[in-house]
Amino acid sequence: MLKKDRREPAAKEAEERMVAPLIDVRNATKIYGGGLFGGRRRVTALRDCSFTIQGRPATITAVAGESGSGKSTLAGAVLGFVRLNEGQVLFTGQDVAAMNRRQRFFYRSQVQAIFQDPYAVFNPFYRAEHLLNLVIRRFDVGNGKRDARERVEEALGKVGLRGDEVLRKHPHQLSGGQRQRMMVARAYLMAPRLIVADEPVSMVDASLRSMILDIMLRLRDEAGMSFLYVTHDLSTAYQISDDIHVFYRGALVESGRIDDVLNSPKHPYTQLLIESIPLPDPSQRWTTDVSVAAQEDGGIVSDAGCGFQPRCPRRMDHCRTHYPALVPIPGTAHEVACHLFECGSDAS
Amino acid sequence: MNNERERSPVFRVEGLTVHYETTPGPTVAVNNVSFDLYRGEILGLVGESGCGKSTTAMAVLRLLQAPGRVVAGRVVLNGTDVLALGKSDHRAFRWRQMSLIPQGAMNALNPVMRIGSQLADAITAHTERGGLRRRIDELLDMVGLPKQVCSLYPHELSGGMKQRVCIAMAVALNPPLVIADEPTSALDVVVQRLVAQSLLKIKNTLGNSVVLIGHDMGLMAQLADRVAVMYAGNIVEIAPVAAVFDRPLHPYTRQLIDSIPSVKKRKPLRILKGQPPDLRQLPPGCPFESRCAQAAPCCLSGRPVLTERRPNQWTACHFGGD
Repeated sequence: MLKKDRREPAAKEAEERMVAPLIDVRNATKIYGGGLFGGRRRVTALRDCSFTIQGRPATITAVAGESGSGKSTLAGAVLGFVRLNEGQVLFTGQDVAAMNRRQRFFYRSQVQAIFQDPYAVFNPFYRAEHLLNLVIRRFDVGNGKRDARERVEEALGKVGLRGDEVLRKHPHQLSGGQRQRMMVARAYLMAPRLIVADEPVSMVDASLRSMILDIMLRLRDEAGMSFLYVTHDLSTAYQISDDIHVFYRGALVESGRIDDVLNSPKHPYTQLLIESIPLPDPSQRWTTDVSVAAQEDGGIVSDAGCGFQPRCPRRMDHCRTHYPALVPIPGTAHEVACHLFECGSDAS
Repeated sequence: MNNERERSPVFRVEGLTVHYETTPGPTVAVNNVSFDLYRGEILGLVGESGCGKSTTAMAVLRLLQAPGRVVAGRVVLNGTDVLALGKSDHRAFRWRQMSLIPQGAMNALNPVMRIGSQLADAITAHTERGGLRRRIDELLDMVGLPKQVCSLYPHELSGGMKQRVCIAMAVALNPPLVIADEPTSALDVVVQRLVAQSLLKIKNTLGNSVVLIGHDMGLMAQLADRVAVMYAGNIVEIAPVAAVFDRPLHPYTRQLIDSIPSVKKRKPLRILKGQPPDLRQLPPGCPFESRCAQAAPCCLSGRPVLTERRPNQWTACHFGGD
């Protein structure tokens, strides 16, 4: 029965959906806590965010922000793990939350994930090949055993591994880099349209980092796979991404092509993020002290108004009471949610 | 910096060698490592995973667990031979003379004790009780945390706050040497800057010396006075921070600097091919030979020794910068 589920939906539906973006996030809102049993604070993990990811040509979209920004919640929503309170995630025009079992199964095969911790995904009792075999069995990859084996070798080859090096080993016998690459190979095996990569390189060091980022670029260019790259590291985002969305406490504060946003950041938070990156140049050291979020220091931040205003060096009275909408800088695809840019005025 | 060179170093590691005793034979995790540290200086210790930087720290603090074992070398702090101290003498010595800011503060803090109690613990375990409350307030102030933190449990704090508590604990007894093992990894960039700046402020106020272990070259550029680069258990280069970034001598250092991602301009991804050597069977020659673009026959047979090739800049390479 499972084998039949992998059939693509009716051709007509598929054709219609080709013009829709690969992923369309519309007014996504997620709130944790604050229920009937009270006591706990309400946390708005995601607040009314909207953006799209194109599938053709394949793109790498970065979602950047500190911890608590909502980026992992967003990744969860795109993967269908997190139920939104409001808004939708559409996959080629279809609402993920409204999918039936067959459609959801297909969705799972089209949107894969790689995560931060390369150890956590393995079952330590089984050999590494188990990770790939599970995928092959569940999604019926390939036509028969031999084809499946070839597909495995191909996937491993894409990440610079060989079957005889890794398959028969247990996870603890592999290095962190090998485990992380196996995760990518597993995602590749499904031939997905989109891979959600949640901090894939933050736990590995420099040489591994370059290797994995290189794999992501090659998968985009050679296999037409798009990526949603969730990270707090703007430098690596710059190296591989096409577009970037910057999040702060659940709100999307700035969006655009990566060059535009990083070379000419408009939102004060984006500017802070960029300034905080330690420059690898001893002659250019940090000169000012960074201020800390009021909430972190025990203060309260109200839900009305802009979330960044307690720390914003350019805040106005208006910012405390009115939530800024995401608006484009006139004549560009560069968007920013800040009262300094309201009504098309450029206050930079 | 020149003044400090004339004074003698506060801390000196000489020929430290650490083995992990494994069944096929010893794994040489730290191989004849030597370096000096001067008063008020931050020495960055950088390298890939497995290069031996954390093992060096553990050995110096006498926190190595079996099968790890120091097989050679001396560690001298203000004239005291640390490795030769008896157990009870070392207990009095630890934390008062040499402390640790561990990697991942989440694990270092006791989850069922309030912050205030943990700070008190760090202070009283190694000294007398007087003026405790005042000292705790002073410490929290030094790391920029509000007094209310005392009555909270670790899970109520963010990662950055927990790490700053660990910094406060490490300087509670004002030790001349603090070892910071990847103090900002797992923190995001703005919090990392906050923690790094706290560390710097404290060092400037108290005048202690710091060994800063990590692999983030950007952070080293911002914080370190000198940098020691480790590879396969050896120090391959040690020099003032500006020299390491502008004029690195060792091929491995050059590759490390080259591969740093920049947010100012897009550089092509440079991938360092190959793997570090098997530490159970270190080659007789240079450990970096298999991955070195400039490798020559002499690199296979003779292991290069750390030599001063430029004033104050040492490297272990037969070609030393040419």
